[in-house]
Amino acid sequence: MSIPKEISVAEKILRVVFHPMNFNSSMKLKSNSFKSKPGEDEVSVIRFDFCDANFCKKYGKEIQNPYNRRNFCGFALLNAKEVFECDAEIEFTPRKTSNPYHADIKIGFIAEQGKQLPAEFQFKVDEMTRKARFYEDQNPDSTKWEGKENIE
Amino acid sequence: MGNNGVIFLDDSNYIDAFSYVEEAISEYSITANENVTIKRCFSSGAIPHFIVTGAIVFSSFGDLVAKNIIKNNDSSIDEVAILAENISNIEKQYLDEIKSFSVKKLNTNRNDVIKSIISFRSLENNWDGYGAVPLEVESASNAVSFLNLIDDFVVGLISDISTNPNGTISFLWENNSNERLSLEIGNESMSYYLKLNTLKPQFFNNVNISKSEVLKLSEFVKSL
Repeated sequence: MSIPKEISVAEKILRVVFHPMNFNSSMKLKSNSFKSKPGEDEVSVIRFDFCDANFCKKYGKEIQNPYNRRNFCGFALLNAKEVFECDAEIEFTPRKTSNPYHADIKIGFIAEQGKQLPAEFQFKVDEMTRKARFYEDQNPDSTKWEGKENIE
Repeated sequence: MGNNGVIFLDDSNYIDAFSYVEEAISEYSITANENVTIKRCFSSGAIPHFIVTGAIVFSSFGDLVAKNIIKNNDSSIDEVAILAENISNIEKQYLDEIKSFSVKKLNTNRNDVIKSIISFRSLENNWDGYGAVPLEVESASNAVSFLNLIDDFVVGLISDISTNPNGTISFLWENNSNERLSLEIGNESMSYYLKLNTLKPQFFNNVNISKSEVLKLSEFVKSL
């Protein structure tokens, strides 16, 4: 399947999330789920319309690290429209070998190490996080997705 | 209990400071005599925003009590039972009202928060799987300084604490109406915003972690 470079407003955009660092005690997503590492304005996401939950789970399990409080537990899902509504953009950045469906959410600000985000950008990220729906995998140890079938 | 923090429904001249936190309701008593006196006792810690809410609820409560007031000592048991049921319904309504406004709390204390800060320091590089760095020493130190400047009440209202991929730390205070104050502390200063449902968000950037600035932030938290 050829993947268009342009991302339509109806597309599903998925972020692999990890327990416990991306969740509060009520299993609600924390804003750090959608924050960039220092020196970049890139939050890695997957264009879910062009792949499936098993691919995303496999990708998530490849980058998990249970010995460092990073256990794959599911997906945070947004429609592209919801990202755009938060005044953020999505750029298609495929990785030919590991993840041809890869994209980056950009909020318009490059995070600096040890420097807090300007409050306006904190707000932008928080709003995005609040719009995201969390889909939990009931059996993260398995190789196949074992959460809800309809991810929307 | 003395007068402090007491509301006498049959005496509208006296409404003192009260907290909207459900757990803070420390006493509830009804005395049926020639008339009915309802007394509620609350711990101190007034939040002006909720005085209005409380006043509205108590106003309707007072109306109901007035309608059912027992003026004779020989009033029937049925009347008392009806009155008790009505009071119970209003009580439930009042508590529901409180719940809708109360702050989502971690029920944490200063030591717990400091433990969280220390635990974030122990994270390794790439702790989020996307290249995050651990909490910076200076940001952690500033977070502790900040904690030392806020009072126990504000510490107890913290809804969430998290570390960020760029080495800073965030605190959140939020009520059940999703109004919030979100704070991020970095190596040199802090930035935060206040989001109330009726107003556009207010943004405060590169604020010094000083007593006066932290006091100002604390007042915002208490207004939630």
